[in-house]
Amino acid sequence: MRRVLRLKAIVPLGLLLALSTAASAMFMDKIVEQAIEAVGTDIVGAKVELDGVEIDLAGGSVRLMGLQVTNPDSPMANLFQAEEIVADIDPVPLLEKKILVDTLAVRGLRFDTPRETSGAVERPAEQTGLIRRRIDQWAQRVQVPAFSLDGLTGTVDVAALNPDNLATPRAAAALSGAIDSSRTVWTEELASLDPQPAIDSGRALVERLSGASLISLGVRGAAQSLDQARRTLSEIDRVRGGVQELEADVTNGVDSFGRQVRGLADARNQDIAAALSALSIPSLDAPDISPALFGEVALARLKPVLYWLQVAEEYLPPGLDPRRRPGPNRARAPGSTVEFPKESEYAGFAVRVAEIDFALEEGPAEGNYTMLLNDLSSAPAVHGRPLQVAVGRQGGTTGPSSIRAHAVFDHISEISRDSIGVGLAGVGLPSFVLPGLGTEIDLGSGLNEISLVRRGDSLSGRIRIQSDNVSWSRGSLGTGRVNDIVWRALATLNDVDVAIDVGGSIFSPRVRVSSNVADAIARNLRQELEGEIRAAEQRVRAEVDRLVAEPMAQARASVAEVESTVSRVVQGHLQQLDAVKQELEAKIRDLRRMVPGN
Amino acid sequence: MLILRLIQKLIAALNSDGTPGQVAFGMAVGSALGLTPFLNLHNFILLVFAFLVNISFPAVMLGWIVFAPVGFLLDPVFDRIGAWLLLDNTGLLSFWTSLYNTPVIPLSNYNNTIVLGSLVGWVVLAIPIYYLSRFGVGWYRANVLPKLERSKFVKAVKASKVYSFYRLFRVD
Repeated sequence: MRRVLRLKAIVPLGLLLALSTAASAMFMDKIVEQAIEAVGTDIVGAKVELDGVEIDLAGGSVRLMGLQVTNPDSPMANLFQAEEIVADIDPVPLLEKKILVDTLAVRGLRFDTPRETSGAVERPAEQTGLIRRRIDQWAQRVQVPAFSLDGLTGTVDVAALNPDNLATPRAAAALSGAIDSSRTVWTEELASLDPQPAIDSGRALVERLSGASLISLGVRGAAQSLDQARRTLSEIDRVRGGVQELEADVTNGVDSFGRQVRGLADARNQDIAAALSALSIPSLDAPDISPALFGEVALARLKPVLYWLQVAEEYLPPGLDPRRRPGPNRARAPGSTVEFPKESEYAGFAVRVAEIDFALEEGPAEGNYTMLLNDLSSAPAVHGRPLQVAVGRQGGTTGPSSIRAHAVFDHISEISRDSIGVGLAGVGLPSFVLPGLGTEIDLGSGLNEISLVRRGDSLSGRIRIQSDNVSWSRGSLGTGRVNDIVWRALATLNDVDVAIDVGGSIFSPRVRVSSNVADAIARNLRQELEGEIRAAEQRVRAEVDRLVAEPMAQARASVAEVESTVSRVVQGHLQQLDAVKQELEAKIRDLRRMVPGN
Repeated sequence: MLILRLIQKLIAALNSDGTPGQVAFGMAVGSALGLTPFLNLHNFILLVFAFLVNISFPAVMLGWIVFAPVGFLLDPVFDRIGAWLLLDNTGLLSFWTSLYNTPVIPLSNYNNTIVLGSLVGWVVLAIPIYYLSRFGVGWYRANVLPKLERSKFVKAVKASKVYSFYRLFRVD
């Protein structure tokens, strides 16, 4: 009988395993380096590269050197690079394939550094850059209104208004068409119901039976009359049912058409606003001017904040539900890998404390900074503590005089609670050209504040830019009375205060921009030009009214006509049917008394 | 040279090396290596098992080679089986959660739909593979091998220099 075990294989197998273990230990640094590069590249969608990795298994530490993370939107630049990252790792969670970093130190972090070679990957994953694309799409949907003084500097040519561009005539014509179609359908339905013969027949019978008695009809005649009256009543009920349904349709239809006719007034107001815009007649309301002047600035400030909020939403998901992510790259299909987080266990990835030293080498916030992160975790509900981020400034010759920056991302419960507070005082603020005016504004140095709170789906907060040492340059702002009025309003402004109020949700935020610049422009224009602007507005309103009056009147007339014809005819038939029905029912009661057993 | 020796071993396994049961057992174990993604903990354990237990190792290799393409073809099926077990079947959620939070078990990659689906697929198919292989080897040895050895082609090959070369590396 053959032996079950191959005893002679034990020694070679042991040797093989020992060799494999030794080889793994020897090449572990390279294996980990390649794994980090591969996983990082997958996540970022552009090359992630390391100069080297040192793993100290006994000490439980990992040292990454020369990390470069390519900017997926600009492959010749790094999103950031770090000279050295040292992580002390708790070895126990590794047995569960989880990484718990006790402390993490990042040294020499720099942003937006140039690359020697392109860091683009040939086939980025579908998810690559999804958040950035989503935010860009949102920003494109936000309509920043245009601001122009052209309508005030030249002659307003209301004749240039194109009726084809107005929405009201189109809506009114469509409404009239719909009313005509409905009228035709209702008239045909009424004709097919044809209630008049039933009404006439009922009336004739009622007339014939008026004054009839048991003596004049006899018992048999009374019984026959009762049958006939019942048949006629049944027919009237049938016809009445149809007419009643038609009446309900007509009433609802006429009500709906009435509402749509009233809605044409809104379309007219929109046409007037569009015409004013098309003829470059500016609104004198500051809330309308601010978005035009600072809308783009507001979007530029808000986009990075939204980006990090959405990154937190994506990578720090709340709750304990199973999480599905694409499986590993291999020759076989990757499938999906599912994580099953559980409270009071280890998260898939967590960093207890991280200290990141970074330098901003260019821009208004130039200087050396330290960022402290506490409790970064891929499963906050498992980790049990919210991520806290605080940034402090270590030094620098230029840049903000004081900095206050902290953020808390609390995704422990199902309802995420995030808050971001940033305050940079004495920070260099941008210079830019005011859209529609051409005036150049240099905000100098001042205050830049971000204060945002997110509770579940709801987002609220404010981004504020404030400076008291603004300088103005006329730039491409033309000459002439109107431009001079605007220039006088701007040139006397030393303080600028722009507030970007944010509401809605992190995926669909609402933005409202206000500024004292718009207030000043509106005030000056109103003081000196209100009469002229109002007159121009009146002319535009009158022209729009003239163009939309006829189709609106036609739609109103169509509704009135349907009401006066179909609706009244149907109601008239219904009233007649009701009257005949009542009379017939009275006759039937009389006849039943004459005929025994009925 | 290694490949030639492997081919010799495969031929020997089919022809005479080991009982049909040992060959079939080897095929069943080897099919796991082919049907499931190779670099996983369960395959390491099965390989150690194949080394230590007195089954036909060439048959393990043969099973691996034969079932590897089948594994690729069945990946979509395995993915659906794995997704059903891991995600759709809520009754198993607490079981998977406790496994996920148990030391060593997550290293098996059981929480990947393809790994779990193919492993379950292999468990289901292993017994039919064993019996079919056992029957197949018995039938081959009884019916095909004698005819092959009597055939003019095999006799001609055996008389040729190629066969002499082959014998140089033959496993005896």
